[in-house]
Amino acid sequence: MRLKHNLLLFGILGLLFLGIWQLARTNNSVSEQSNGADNLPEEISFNFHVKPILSDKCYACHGPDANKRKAGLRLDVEDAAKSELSENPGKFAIIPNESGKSELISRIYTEDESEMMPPPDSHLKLTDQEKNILKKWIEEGAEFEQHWAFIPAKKSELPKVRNQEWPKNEIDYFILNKIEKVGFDPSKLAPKEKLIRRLSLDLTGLPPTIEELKRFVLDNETFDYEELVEYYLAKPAYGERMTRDWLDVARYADSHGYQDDSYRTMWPWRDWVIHAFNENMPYNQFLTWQIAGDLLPNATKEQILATGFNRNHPITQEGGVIDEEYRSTYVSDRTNTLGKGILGLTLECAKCHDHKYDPFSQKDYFSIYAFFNNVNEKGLQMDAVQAKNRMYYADAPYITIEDEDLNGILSFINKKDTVKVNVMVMNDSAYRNAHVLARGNYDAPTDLVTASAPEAIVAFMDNFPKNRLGLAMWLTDEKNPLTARVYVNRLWAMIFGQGIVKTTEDFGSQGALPTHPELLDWLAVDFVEHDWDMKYLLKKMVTSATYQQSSVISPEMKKTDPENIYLARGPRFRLGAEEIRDYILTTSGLLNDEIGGPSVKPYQPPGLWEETNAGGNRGILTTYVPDTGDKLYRRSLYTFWKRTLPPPSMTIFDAPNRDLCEVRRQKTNTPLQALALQNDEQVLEGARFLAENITEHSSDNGEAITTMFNSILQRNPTDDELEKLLEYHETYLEKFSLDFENAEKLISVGQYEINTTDTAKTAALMMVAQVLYNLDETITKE
Amino acid sequence: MTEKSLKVFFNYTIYSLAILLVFLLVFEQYLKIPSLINWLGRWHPLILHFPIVLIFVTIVQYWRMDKNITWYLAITTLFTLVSAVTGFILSLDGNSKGNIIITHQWLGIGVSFLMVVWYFKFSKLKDKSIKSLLGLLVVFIVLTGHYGGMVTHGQDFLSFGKSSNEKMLTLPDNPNIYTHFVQPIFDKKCVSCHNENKAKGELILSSYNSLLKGGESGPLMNDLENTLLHRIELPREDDDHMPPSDEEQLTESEVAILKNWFELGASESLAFTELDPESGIFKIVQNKINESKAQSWSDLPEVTDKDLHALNSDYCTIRRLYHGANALQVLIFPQKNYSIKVLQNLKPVSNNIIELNLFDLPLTGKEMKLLNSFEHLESLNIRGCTITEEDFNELEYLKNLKVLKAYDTQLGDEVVNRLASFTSLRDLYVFNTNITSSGVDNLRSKNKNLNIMIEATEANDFKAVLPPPTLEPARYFFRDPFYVKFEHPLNQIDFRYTTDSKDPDNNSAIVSDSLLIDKNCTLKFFASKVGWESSIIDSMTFLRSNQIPPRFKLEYPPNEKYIGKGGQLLFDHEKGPMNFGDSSWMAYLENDFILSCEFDEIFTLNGVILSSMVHTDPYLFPPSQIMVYGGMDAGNLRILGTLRPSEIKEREEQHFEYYHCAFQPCEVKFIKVIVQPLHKIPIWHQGKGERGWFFIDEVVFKSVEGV
Amino acid sequence: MEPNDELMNEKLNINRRHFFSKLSVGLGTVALGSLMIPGLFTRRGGLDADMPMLGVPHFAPKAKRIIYLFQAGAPSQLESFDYKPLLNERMGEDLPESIRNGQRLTGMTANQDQFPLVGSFTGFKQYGQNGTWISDYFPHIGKIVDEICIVKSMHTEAINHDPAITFFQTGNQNSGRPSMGSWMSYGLGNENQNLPAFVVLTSRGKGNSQGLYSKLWSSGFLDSKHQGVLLRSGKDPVLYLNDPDGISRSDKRMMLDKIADLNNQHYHRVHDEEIQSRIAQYEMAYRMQMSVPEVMNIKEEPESIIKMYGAEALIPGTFAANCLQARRLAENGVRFIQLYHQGWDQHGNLPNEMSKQALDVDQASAALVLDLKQRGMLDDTLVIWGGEFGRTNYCQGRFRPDNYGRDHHPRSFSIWMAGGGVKKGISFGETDEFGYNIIKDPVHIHDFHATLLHLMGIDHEQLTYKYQGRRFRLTDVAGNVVNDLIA
Repeated sequence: MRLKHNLLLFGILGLLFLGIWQLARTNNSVSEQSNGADNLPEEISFNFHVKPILSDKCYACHGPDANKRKAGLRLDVEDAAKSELSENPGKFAIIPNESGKSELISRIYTEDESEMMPPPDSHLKLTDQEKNILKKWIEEGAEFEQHWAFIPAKKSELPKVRNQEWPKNEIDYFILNKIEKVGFDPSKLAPKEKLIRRLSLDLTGLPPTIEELKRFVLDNETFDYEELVEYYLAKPAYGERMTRDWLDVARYADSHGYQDDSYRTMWPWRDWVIHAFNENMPYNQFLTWQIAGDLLPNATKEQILATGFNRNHPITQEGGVIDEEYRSTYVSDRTNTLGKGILGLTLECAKCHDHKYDPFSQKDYFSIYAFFNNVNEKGLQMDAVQAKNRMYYADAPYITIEDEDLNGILSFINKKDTVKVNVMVMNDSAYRNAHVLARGNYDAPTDLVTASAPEAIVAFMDNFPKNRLGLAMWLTDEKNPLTARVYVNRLWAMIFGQGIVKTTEDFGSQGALPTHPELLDWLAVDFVEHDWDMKYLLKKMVTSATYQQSSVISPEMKKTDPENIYLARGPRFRLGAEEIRDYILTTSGLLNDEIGGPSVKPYQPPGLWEETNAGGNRGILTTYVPDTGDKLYRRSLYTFWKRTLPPPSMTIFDAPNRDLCEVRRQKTNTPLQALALQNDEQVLEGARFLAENITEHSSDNGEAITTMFNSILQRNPTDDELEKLLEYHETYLEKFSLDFENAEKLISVGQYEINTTDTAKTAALMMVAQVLYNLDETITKE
Repeated sequence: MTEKSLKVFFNYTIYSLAILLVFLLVFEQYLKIPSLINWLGRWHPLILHFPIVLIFVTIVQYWRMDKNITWYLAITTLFTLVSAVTGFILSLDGNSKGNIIITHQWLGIGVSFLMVVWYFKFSKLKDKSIKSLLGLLVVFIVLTGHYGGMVTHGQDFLSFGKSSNEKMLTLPDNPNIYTHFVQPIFDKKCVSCHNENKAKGELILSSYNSLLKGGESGPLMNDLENTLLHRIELPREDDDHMPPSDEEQLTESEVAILKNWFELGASESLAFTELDPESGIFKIVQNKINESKAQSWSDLPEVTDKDLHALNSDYCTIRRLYHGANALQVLIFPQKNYSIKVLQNLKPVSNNIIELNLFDLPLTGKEMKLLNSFEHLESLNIRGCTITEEDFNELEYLKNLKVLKAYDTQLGDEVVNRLASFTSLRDLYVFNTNITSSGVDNLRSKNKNLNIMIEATEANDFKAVLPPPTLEPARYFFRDPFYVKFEHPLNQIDFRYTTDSKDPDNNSAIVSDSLLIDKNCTLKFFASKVGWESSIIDSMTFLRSNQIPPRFKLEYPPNEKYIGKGGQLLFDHEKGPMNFGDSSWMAYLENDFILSCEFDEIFTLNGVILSSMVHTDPYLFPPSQIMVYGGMDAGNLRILGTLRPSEIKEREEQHFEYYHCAFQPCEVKFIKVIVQPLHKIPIWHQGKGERGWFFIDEVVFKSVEGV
Repeated sequence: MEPNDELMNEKLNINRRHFFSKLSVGLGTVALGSLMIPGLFTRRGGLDADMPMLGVPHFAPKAKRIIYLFQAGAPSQLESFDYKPLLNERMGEDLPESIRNGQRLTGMTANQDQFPLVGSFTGFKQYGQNGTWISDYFPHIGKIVDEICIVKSMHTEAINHDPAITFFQTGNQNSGRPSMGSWMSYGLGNENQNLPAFVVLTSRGKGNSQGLYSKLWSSGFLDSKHQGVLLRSGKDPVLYLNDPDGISRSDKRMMLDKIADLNNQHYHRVHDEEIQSRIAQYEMAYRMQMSVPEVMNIKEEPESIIKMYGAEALIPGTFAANCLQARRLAENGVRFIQLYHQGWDQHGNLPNEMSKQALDVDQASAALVLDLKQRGMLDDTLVIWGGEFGRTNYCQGRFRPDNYGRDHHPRSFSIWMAGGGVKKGISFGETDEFGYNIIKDPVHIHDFHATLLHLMGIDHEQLTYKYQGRRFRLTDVAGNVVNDLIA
């Protein structure tokens, strides 16, 4: 009986629901979601979950850019986001804890194209996941946080870890903590010979020599890793290796760029950078000198030389350009370089309009611009033809370096001949009013601005002078949340192949998020506490257990962490362009390790400059004549860099063209690279040279091949490898002893004079060397 | 309230409602419904669901011999009547009822009365007749429901897939705006309420004419502020907004289409091409056309990206014609170890292949047979493939083949009949084959609208001029006799030349293979070949220079703009290029060119030749005069010869110039050459009165033995 | 769990996708990456989840490939396709300020106190069904006028060569953006796995020339596999393509097998997929070594074809040779073929230099169009001919009756296009009778780019790449498809 009553009851209830549904059809869109609600984070973090969505999909129209802002809604500032919508009164974009009433939510869930956010024509879409995150966030109270990168870094407690044996220093606690959370185990310690190779490549950009191997690995029973690290940090090659990266940041080149792209003499500045790194100059001082060396109280010639950093940008020599247009371009270039290279911010986005994602107005941009606006320079100093005839290789302002300087503080400059060298530097001797330029156009000045730095990062103190020196102080002020973080992160990327913040060039809202935020902060603070000591920082990284792991990828790790985000294994990635060439020079024994001096012209496929130049008399870089003798075998950071046609052996391996500041190179894998490694004259010559030497010293083939294998890969071949190579060698030994002519042809590659007693043998061994130089392992740091 | 009185209450309400219903039916046309009542009608769509379910529940309970069956009956009957009444009221709200509504109405009423009968006559009826009554009831309910559905959701809302068929119809290249875009919008979003049966607001949107008739607000076109558009554009909250806020809304693009169409005069004939490309509607329509293109192949079988991935290989590229299409383009490139397998692998997608390109492949009849199964093939390219005519004829009727590219093949008239059989073939590319013009005519006669590209006719009136030959080595200054070869990119070329400074013609000497150069001379030459126009006449001067001064100096340095690579360029046996900025040229403007040379041993000099350049536009002129001094000791040199180049009368093209200052042979150990650049440029030149540039790249001392 | 662990888990999901597609590539199916989604290897993201599939057009394309005959240095529109008799009538008169109104000037004419109008020295004739006026410098192009579409209303902002060319090639005056061809390669992939999708050929005329820069064909922030590959005349058409002396193809094959063998061994030690794709790249390179020289070898072209292009076609490195080359590359599935012909910068001595320049390009350009037509390739191959800006209607320097030069003029200039779904035999846009300002249908570079992409089946607003937090487009934030140009 009761049951039947209930039955009736249920019937009625069902019908009622039916009716409600009927009525509700109009505004059901809100309640109708919750598909894909799975794998939502239990606890929503604004910075890590919400901000990325808002920034990427909303800020373009509801962000910092006042001119482009739609419906008066601003989502990057808490008060604005939570206040009543100016254009439809009574409505709120965000009402904490009430997603149902929040316009934002109904707009992102609606199907109605006229209502939908982001609007269809923006071609942006929110995934269900993203929608649900936003909803959850609002339901949990819609809390805002300051952008993580602008919060001053602080050292946090070392996280707890179960495995107490593994950690070697602080870094490892942060890494291991995460590894344990996801249930991995750290990889085992890498074998000695791998470690020394890794270390040598990271700290000097060169592979270890056979002697070093002998000294540290083979003979030495008690393998002292610390000592090894000290040893490599002390090598002069260290300075060169660090400089190689800094040249990308400083967009260094040996030519002016643009139309005629003629010669410039900036190489003494490069010598200084090498010097500074080898002296282990503190990073804050390193920056200060380069940005404002000339403004330091009674500045030395060295300090002024350092400011060449801001004159490395392209300069036009095209007759008939508009002076101011280009001068303004140069100033912008300095501003952008400061942003990308030192602050890790995309300042340039704020040149034509307020920044769309980060809290910088156009005014902020030009306030920084103002710092660099007072150089006594011209947009067009002299056209290429004049410059050529007057042998004018540095546009004013410049300093002249004469022989006597070399006896003094500039002793580090490797000046070949007695000719004076001019080097472009900064000065502030032409004060100009700085204006906000409408749409960034040089001919559309609007409001006057005074030199200053964005409040959003950290206040520009009143006691800072309002010039580049003040800017440098602001940058290196310990309250500045970016400078240290950005540099630490970049060194990390250099060592581990990928930054803690993947986008080393962008710490802003649109940049990637730190995978180990606490670690990044800890290192940054630690770095500053130790007086910005770069060698100390590097040592910290390479002595960590994290670094010393083997780079072998276990199958399950390959599935779960292919990009090695958790660092449960050692880094493994392709060497950079310069490293690859230097690797071949070193292992073959061709390398000329002279430090500094003017750039050199190694082998390059003929005709490249000739085909594209602007006519024979436009500047002095119209034809490429390779150098001769040991100049051919200098390290690659000395390779002559013509901006409009950089050395192909570099660009093919992802070197930037140096038109702009670059802080991160791609690591691509292309057929052109395969061709270069197989057929580049330098590689072949290296193979030949190595083959020659070995044939001289070892009669037995097995021994010869082993030696070669050792010198190229710094390890002994496995039996199988040895067997395969022997067999290969055999075939060619036979072939060439019959086919003498081709053997001759083969080994006659390169300028280095041939001295072999046994052509066939050398040729055969050279084939083996080519195989080894083309192995993935050879051009990979592992 | 006791059970009994409750029962009584039910009896009365049901009774009165039934009466009310009858009353309404009888006096329908006399009724004036007050808006409040009217509002009651709006509840019909809600309430009607109750009786439907309830009735079934009741029936079930009846089977289960439920004691409380009467209660179920009571409630159900009540709801049935209520919904019938409200439904009736609602039907008065709209105007002129369509047949569907009428049917729906009577069925509904039917249902109600059946219920009433069942309710009151329950106890008295026999089990058998109840059964039949129930059966009847069920049928009525279903029908009522169905017609009700038609009223709200449109005529054929139950008929399968028809709507999707509509989508499939593909747009022509130049679609009509009304039929292809406007009406479909109405059909989709409006007609359900604005049709013959249910013309809300007297507006019927199912045809162009009815549309023009408009609704309450009168004919659309006279209705200036276009109520239809107006109400569409009202904010959704607004009560007048159309479609009603609870209905499916128009999309932005739909609104745009309607707006534009009305603005353009709502013509029934307006076509795509007549639209203003800047207008918003244009872009929309354009996209729609593109989309519909996709559907022209939409009946093709589905291909997954995975399949495509698997089928692609180094020499075989398979890609969708565009995003989401199952129509494929296939390219197969020449490869060493080609075998028919490459084509056989395509079997799984053979019906998707619209475009097939086979380049320079050795095709046989087998391949052709295979192709016969590619039934959707529209474009076939066998450029450069080696295939015999018989083999080609293995290709049978490809009903969709529109384009065939067979140029650079051995195909001949044998295949004409086969080609003629491809009735849908439109474009045929067969240049550089063995197909004769008669074959072409034959083909044209069989397939009237076939374009045959046998060769680009315009190409014929290109006249082909030979480039002049190049001399190897191009050695202007030489010490020892040598041979020059004449080189030319084409073979079988005649090179004719002269050395007597007359222009060569077709009777001039022909270069056998190469030519001995042993003394100063100027070669003039050209290239000729049958079927080509002879090249222009080119010339080259050879100067023997075997007296190189071990020591020499220049009084003044050259002008800073053209310093060249320094003095040594004067005796390096290298000719400067036309680009006088090159470092093998030096130039003088203000200063004289004064060159003093000292030789180790005495020799007999009988002339000096200065290699220079003239180019009047950039002020490169012959010098005013050239003086040569010589003698045995530096102290007293006597003048040997003077040369005053003749003044230039008019603008001259850029060209090399050699100033030959000849004089009586004379023994010398020291020589001094003085050249004065032009002092006054002649008046005809824009730089009149200014100085002229003197350019020099080589100095040649003619010694008697040398000549 | 801390929030950022969540974040990383999300990352890892994405990474799985990375990994699988990577694997498939490792297996060496598609090397130069046409069908797989580009950007997978770039460790800088770039792709949006909701972005339309790359490697196929967004909608039915009209053109499948582009051949761009770029005339570097800016040929004068007034001596080619924009006939202005008024300039001859008013020879030597000063350009009315009302016409010039504030157009900025280059440093070369900025200090000129007057701007004497000068008309073309060469005559014009009418060609084709619409009697289109074309100068006597270009008789052959005149003959094909019914095939081409002349746009007389192009305009740009840049007034100097470097920014102007860079703008044309990359959509931005400053360097750093990917070139047009790179965008196409990125958006559409390549048809022939054994040739690059984007190639560049350069030639130099006799006129005053301007430099070229590798940034013009650089892939900017896109994966460097989209970079334009410079194809050079001579023995090494692609850098490092040739095997060293003394090594035969079979030797090379043996070497590759040995390398692959050892690489595989190492793969089984360290399990890094990069090794697999390295092996694939070596195979790809090996195939390029065969296919490139084959395509580049014009020996077997019949003499009739050589005649069409002119005998210079047989001289490597000439414009004519490059045109013929371009056709062969197009036939073999290269997506974007970029030619540069230097020498059009006639600041002085224009009549003379331009006649020579025209002689270099006139016949070959026309021949290319006809050759494509007779091969049925003109329908889906877009040919573009033009420079980076126009030239002034007044002479540079003092006026003289016998000779003149023209300065840079960004406000209006002419280019022409043929095939690839562009209307035939029309002239689009108009300039005023002084040939200085556009009075009808202006076409900005961004519009031009948008239209190109549209013809290739790409919605220019949807082909984006995310770099430094911003979604970049070839058309930056502007650009409208010029539908009137589309057939």
